[in-house]
Amino acid sequence: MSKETDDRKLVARRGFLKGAATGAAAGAATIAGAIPGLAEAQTAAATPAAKAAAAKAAAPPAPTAAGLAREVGAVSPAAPTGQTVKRPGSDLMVETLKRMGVEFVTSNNGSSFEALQESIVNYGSPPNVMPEFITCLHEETAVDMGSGYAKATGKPLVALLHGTLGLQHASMALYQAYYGGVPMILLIGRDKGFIQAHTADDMAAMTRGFTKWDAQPKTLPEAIDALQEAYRQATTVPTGPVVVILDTEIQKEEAGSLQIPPFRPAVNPSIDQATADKLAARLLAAKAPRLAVGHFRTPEGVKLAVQLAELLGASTSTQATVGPMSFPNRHPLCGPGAGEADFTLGLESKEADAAIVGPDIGATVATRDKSGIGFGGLVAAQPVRADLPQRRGKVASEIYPVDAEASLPLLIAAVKKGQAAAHKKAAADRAAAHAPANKAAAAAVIDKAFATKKTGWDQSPVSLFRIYAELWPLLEDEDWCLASPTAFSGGHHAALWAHNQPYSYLGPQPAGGIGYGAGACGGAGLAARGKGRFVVNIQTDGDMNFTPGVLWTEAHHRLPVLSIMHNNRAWHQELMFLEFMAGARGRGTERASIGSTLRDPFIQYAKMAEAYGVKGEGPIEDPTLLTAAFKRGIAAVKSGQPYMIDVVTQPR
Amino acid sequence: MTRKTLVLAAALAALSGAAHAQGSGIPAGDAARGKQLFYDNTCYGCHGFNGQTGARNLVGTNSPIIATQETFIGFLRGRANFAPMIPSTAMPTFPKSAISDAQAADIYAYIKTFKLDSPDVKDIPAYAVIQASAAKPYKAGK
Repeated sequence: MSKETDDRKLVARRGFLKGAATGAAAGAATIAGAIPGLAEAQTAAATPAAKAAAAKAAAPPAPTAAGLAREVGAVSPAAPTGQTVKRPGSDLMVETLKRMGVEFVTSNNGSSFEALQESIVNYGSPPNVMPEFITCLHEETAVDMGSGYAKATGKPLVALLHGTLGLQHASMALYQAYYGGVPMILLIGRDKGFIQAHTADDMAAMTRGFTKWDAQPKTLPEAIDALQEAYRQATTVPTGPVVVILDTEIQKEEAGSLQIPPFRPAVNPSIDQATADKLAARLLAAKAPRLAVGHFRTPEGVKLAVQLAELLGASTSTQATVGPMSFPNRHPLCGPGAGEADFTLGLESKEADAAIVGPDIGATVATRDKSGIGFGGLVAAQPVRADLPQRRGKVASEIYPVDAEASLPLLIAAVKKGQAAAHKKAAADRAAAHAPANKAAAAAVIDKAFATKKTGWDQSPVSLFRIYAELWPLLEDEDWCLASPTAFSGGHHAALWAHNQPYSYLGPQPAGGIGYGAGACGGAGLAARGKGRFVVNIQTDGDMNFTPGVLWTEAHHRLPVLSIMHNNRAWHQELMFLEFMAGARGRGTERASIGSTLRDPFIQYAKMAEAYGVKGEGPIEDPTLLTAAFKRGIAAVKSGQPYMIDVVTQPR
Repeated sequence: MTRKTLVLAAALAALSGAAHAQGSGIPAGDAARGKQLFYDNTCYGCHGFNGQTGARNLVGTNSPIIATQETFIGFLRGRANFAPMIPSTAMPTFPKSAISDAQAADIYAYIKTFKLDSPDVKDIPAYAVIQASAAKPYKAGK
């Protein structure tokens, strides 16, 4: 059948439906007027009780237990019989993802990948597991969930998007993932024969300036290769989001006997043996060696850094309170330590004498930003501006531009090899001195935080410091992940909470964009589900309103996300900017609330959550009610359900 | 005296002079009216709804700026009247056309009702738990 014939049929069908709807409405009105008493009877039937009864009778039934079991992959579909295509290309794509360990495909469905979606939900035993199809209500959420998941695990998931539309919906979240160097695989369905506005010759070009790599395979074998290369590219430094365009023809074609090549994982660049020996010698020769630890790619990097620090008895700095995959901040070696360091080695941190720091995502700008967009803030795109505040502290003059995580095994081996008995004793002595010093430093930080931030403890609206402080006693013995950015809620966890897991805190919006937090917390929920862990989300109200549909995804997929609304009813950062501007112009701040506040009417977040199927409570304005609400919330998320607590808060 | 201290002293002296010129002789304001003005002028954006929280809390800081009505009004009038290229969250300036002397006095009266009423740390159960938690021996993965 030609495309022209298809289009005519589509138009004809739409015309029929339109005519039928109009006719039905007009006909009903005519009949009601013509029959005595019918109009009155219809009015009676419109009473609330009658409406409710009629609605109940007409409503579709709820899914059966068997249906839900199918959805979660507990029941296998029937084996295909008598089909023309016995081994669809999309089945091989799913098998490829499965073998690479891709756990989830986040997606808002689209007509350009129904073949791949069908394979995800039906192929394999059990189907819809590794990867599992995660239903999102917006593509921005699909990608933000990818960011949250990757930050919590160090692994990429797949975000499956529909053509030009899905990719553009996702682009803001993708932009942030790029800035954060977040590993992620975007698969974009491309259907040349269907809706023309949803396709393009080179869709990846729309986001090429803020993705690390892309491919548009022409054949099924190329597509399988592209999926494997996408995984390698995403997880090789500089890590980042990658794009593969998948034509519908390739998804639907018969694969025949095509075999999936063995997957070769990414090999990240490491220091060489000579460098490892040299750095090990300097660490061993130092009287007070120190490690400055930034963010590794995966939890393995954290484990290795702890091993190195313990071998050396080295005091260690951490970035664990500002982002994931860093040194546990309550480890006895973590803190200022006892005495001044005489040699500091940076591991993904340049604040050192010598540093192993892998390439930044900005290194891809030269090859990716071909149209010269020149996004700001990327290292290779823009020189350091003298008029902006600069980072303080020393910066290493000796930098090894390779991956620290990949380098650590060699370095640890070299330290072990060079470590004599005297070195071991010195390391033990240092560790014994650092531990009490670091413990005292942590206590002092807590004291200072309470001394300066407990003001407003009993006030309403609720103090943000009190929220963080009252949460900790309930989190202390739990496995939790703080997945929301916290700069706008005061970031009080940094002083008060222990950040001892690679995923304790997932850090800020990578490009500073609002709307990221809710989705990222959903993604962290994927990483937490089924592991006895739950996500803590101090959710700013401005952020929540970009993609609130993630609440439904959390409810539907049973994601353990505890959302505590930082409901200050404004975008307060912008309110403060506007106030200063109005002042500078001598016009007063009375109208600064216009466009920067969320009042008249106030948004009811517990009701919003309820509408999406998430249990919730609030708004809470009395701070004495917090702890009881937190306990209810934690009980709910520990049972595998998301929960929301709406708290009316102070601005900051 | 360090250079920094000298600069601070000079700024305070200038502020004091400005305050004298701007705020002297203005009758004391009304705290109830000041409360509404504090809200309408979005002062809470930086100082919190009760002056105790926010980016710059007002109470318990011993700031000379709010020591007297005169210093306060002088401070309101004497802030920057140009906008830097980078957004700022610094205190805006308020000429009389934006907030009159009488309104400024009302706001000051309201600000002076703020009290540092947070409990002592020993009466905050979370404090003891948090400190005890930090003092516990480290367990890998916890």
